[in-house]
Amino acid sequence: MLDALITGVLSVFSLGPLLYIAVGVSIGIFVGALPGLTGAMAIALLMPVTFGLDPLTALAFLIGIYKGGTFGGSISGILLNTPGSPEAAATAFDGYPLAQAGQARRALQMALFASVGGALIADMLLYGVALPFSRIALKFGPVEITFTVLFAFTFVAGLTGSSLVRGLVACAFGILCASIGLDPMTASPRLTFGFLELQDGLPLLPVAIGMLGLAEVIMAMERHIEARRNSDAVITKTEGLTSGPPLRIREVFSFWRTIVKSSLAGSAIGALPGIGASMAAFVGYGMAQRSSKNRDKFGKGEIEGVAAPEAANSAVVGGSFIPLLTLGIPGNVATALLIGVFLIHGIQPGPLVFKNDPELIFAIFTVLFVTNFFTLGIGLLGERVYGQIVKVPEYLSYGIIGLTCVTGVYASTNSVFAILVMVIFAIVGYLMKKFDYSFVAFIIGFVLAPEFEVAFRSYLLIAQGDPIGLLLRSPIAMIFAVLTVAAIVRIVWRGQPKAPKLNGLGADKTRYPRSG
Amino acid sequence: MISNRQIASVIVIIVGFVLLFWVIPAQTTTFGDDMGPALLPSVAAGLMVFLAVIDLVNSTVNTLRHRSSGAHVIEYDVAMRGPQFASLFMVAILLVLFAFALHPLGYPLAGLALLLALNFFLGARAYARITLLGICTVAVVYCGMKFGFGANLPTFPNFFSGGG
Repeated sequence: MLDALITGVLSVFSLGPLLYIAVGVSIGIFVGALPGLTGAMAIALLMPVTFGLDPLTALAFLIGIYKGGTFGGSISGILLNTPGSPEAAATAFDGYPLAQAGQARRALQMALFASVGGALIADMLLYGVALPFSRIALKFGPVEITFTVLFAFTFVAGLTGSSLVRGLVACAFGILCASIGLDPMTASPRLTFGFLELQDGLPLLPVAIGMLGLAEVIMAMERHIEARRNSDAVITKTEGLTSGPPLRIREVFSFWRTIVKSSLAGSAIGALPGIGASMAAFVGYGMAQRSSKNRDKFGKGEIEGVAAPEAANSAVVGGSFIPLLTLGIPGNVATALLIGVFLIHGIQPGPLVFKNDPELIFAIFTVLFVTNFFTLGIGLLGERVYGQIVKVPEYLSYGIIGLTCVTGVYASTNSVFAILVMVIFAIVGYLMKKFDYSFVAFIIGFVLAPEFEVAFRSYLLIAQGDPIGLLLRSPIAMIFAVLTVAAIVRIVWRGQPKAPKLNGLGADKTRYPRSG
Repeated sequence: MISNRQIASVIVIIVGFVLLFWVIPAQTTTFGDDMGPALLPSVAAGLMVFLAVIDLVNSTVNTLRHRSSGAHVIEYDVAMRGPQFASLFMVAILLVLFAFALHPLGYPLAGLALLLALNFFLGARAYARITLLGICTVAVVYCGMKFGFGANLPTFPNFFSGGG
C-alpha cells in the first residue's frame, strides 16, 4: 500500500497533470465567474478534450475545473450580486454589501482563502474515510448495490428539485434513456429503432452537453427575447469593482472555527447524494450566523458571512468524492460526469479500484489536494481581471458555448447523428428545466442505470422468487431499504429543504443565477 | 383553464403509455421470462406513468385552489408562450442546419455561420466586431481541436458529400 501511495503521489508531480490542473482551475474560475455558467457545464463541454489524455491527466484537468468553478461562482456573487453558480448565492448575502462598501477585494480574498481552506479540510477527511469505506463496500453484492443505488435515486430525486414526484419522473426517464442499446445481460438490441448508432446506447456526452450546455443557450435566447419585449436591459457598472483594501491574513485565521465547522458540514453534505453545494452553503452560513458575535451584521456586509458559505460549498467537492470513489455513486452532476470520464478510460469507479488500481486512487487524492494550491495561486493572481470577466456580454459567452457544444460532440464522436441526439436532449433539458423536472436526478438515473440493472436483475435471479427473504438476510441492504423509505417519508412529510432563516438580505434580495 | 404543468403531466402519461404498451414490447426481446431485457424499461415507464398521474392530481388540486382564491392560472403556471417556443425552435433549427452543413461547407465556414447566427439571435448588433471575434473564435477552436487533440473536423467545403 505504501508503494502505491508513493507511486500515486509522484505521478501527479509531472508536467502533464500539473499543467492541466492549472489550465483546468483557470477555466473553472473563468466559467464559474460568468453568471449562469457553472463548473459542471464546463466539465461537460470540455470532456471531449480529455479523451486523448491518460486517465490521471484527464481527471486532473476536470477536477481543476470543478474546484475552480466552485470558487469562481462567488466572484460575480460578490461583484454583481448575481451568483455565478447556485452555491454562491449565500456568499452574495454579505459579499455584495462588502463590495458596495468599497471592500470587494477583501471579500474576494476571504472567499478564496475560505474556499481553499474548506477544500483542504474536506480532502484530508476524504483521505481518512475513503479507504475504510471502500473495505466495507467490497462486501457489496447485487442485493446491496440494488438498494444502495435505489437510496441514491430517491435521495437525489427528492432533494434536487421542488417536487419529489417530478424528481422521480426525471430519474425514471434517465433510467429509460440509459436502457437504449444492447441489453447488458443478453446482448440483444433494445429500443434502438433500427439505428446502428444506438446499439452502444445513448452516449453520455451528447446527452449531458445538450442538457447542460445547449439548454442554457436556449434559456439565454429566451431571456434576450423577453428583455427585448420588455426593454428592461440591466446595465451594471463594474469598473473598479475589485478595488479596496486587501484582506489581512490575521483576519482569515480569526475565523478558523467558522471555516472548520462549515467545512465539516460541507464534507458531510457532499458525501450524501443529491443535497449539493447550495444547501451546504446555506447550512454553513446559518451555522456561522447562529454562533457569531456579530450575528446582527450578517446580511449587511459581515466578512464571516463570506467565509462560512465558501468553506462549506468548497468542502462539498471533497465530500462528493467519498461515494464516488468508494461506491461508484455520484452525488451531483459534476461527479456524474466524472464517472463518465472514468468509464471512457476503462475504469469502473467503486471499491474494486482501491484493490486493483490503488496508485490511481492515491493520485486522485493528491490531485484534489494539489488543486487547492493552484486555486489559491491563480485566484490571487487573477483578482485584477475579475471585474472584466463578469462584464463579458451574454451573446458572446453563450454564442461560444453553442459552438463549443457542437464542436465537442462532433469531435469526440465523428458523427452528425450525435449532434442530432444532442439537439433532442437540449430541447428535453430545456423543457425539464422549465417544468422543474430535476436534471440532476435524470443524469444520476442515466449514469447509474446500467450498474443498477445488472445488480437488480442478478438480485431477482439469486432470490429465486423470494426477494424479500433475500433482502432480510442482508443487513446492509436492509439499512439502505429502510433509509430509502425513511427518505421518502421525510421528504413527503416535511416538504422540500428550505434555506435557513437569515438576517438582513434574504434570498429574495439576491439575484439568483440564470441557470438552475 | 388547463395549466401548462397539467399539460406536461398529461404528455408524460401519454408517452409512458405508448412506451409501455407499444414501443417496449416491439423493441425488446423477452426470452420468455419476466427478468429479461424488457424489465427495467418497463418498470421505468410504468413508474413515469404512475408518478405523472400523481403530479397531475397535485397540479389539478393546486389549480382549483388558486382559482378559488381568485388568482389567474398564469400567475403560478410555467410560461410557455412565444419567446419560449421561438428560442427553442431557433436554437434547434440553427444546430440541425449546422449538422447538415458541416460536411458540405466544412467546419470553419459552418462554425462561423453558426456562431454569427447565435450571436445575432442573442442580441449582438455590432456586426463588424462579432464577425472579427467570430473568425478568431472559430480559428482558435478549430486549431485547438484539429491540431491539439487530433479531432477529425472537415476543413474545406465539399458540396457533394450529402450532408454528413
